Amino acid sequence: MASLLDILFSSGPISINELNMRSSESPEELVQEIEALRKKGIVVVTGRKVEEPAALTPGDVHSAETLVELSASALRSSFAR
Amino acid sequence: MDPRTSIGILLAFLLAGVTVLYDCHVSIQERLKRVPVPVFRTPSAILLGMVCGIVAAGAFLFTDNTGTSLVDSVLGLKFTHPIPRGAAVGLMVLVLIRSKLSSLKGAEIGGELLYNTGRTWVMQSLNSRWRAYKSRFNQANQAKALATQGYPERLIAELNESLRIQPEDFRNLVKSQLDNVLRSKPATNFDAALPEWQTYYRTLTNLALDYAGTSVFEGWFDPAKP
Repeated sequence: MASLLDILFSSGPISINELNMRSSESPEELVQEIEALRKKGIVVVTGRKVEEPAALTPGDVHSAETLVELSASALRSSFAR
Repeated sequence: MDPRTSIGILLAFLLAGVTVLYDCHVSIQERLKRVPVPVFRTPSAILLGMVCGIVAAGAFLFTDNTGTSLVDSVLGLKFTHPIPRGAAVGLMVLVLIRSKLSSLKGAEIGGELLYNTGRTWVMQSLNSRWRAYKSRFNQANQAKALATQGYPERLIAELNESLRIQPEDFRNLVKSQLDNVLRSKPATNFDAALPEWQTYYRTLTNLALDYAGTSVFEGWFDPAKP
């Protein structure tokens, strides 16, 4: 099973609607997981909701403008593994 | 300056650059888990290689033909001749960067942190370029894809074929995403004008590009170059 981080590592920056299709989570679970990773500084959300990333809703998973990508610190910490 | 010393400096610079580019290629490819990326042609990787080359050339100047200098001790060098000494310093630049010699009073900062920051910058650059490439590819080819009879089925077949020689964990990584995308296939009848069908086609295309590259289109689709 591909985790969200597996997908993000291999795809690079990805629109949330495409991430929704590739992942096994429901829209609600996906938004929760992205928000949890964003708070830990692991992912960065940009695009239409950039000024209010915490306001992502399950309906936003159909947006092609909202991008999700791994943060620099997440990429850097992969070298420590 | 003695010509042999000049050659030693040049070798240290060039071989350090090549070593760093190779290390970036291997370490980044391992982490990105997608179709091989041209790290050697990425400006940020070339710049990182050049910076490490300068570090190696500088370190070479601190070696001598007695093998007793600090850099000689750290690298275990005993070359009296500057040319093989220069080559050795270049090839061992990563040992030098990760040694206590380039750390600040034994703290976890110094050469290794800077090198990993450099590699992170290269990864970010690769990711941005990859995203832009996929976007241009889709812009150039989406209309043709939507007009091609059986495009999703043929693309999936070609992708599965290309995965046969890959390790099991890689195949599972791709297969699980493919299954998820197929489950998300629009329930409506196909209509190229509908956003959900365009998203479906784009997602399949990007999945194929991520894990197999443009080779999956050869012989049946002939994509326009982005």
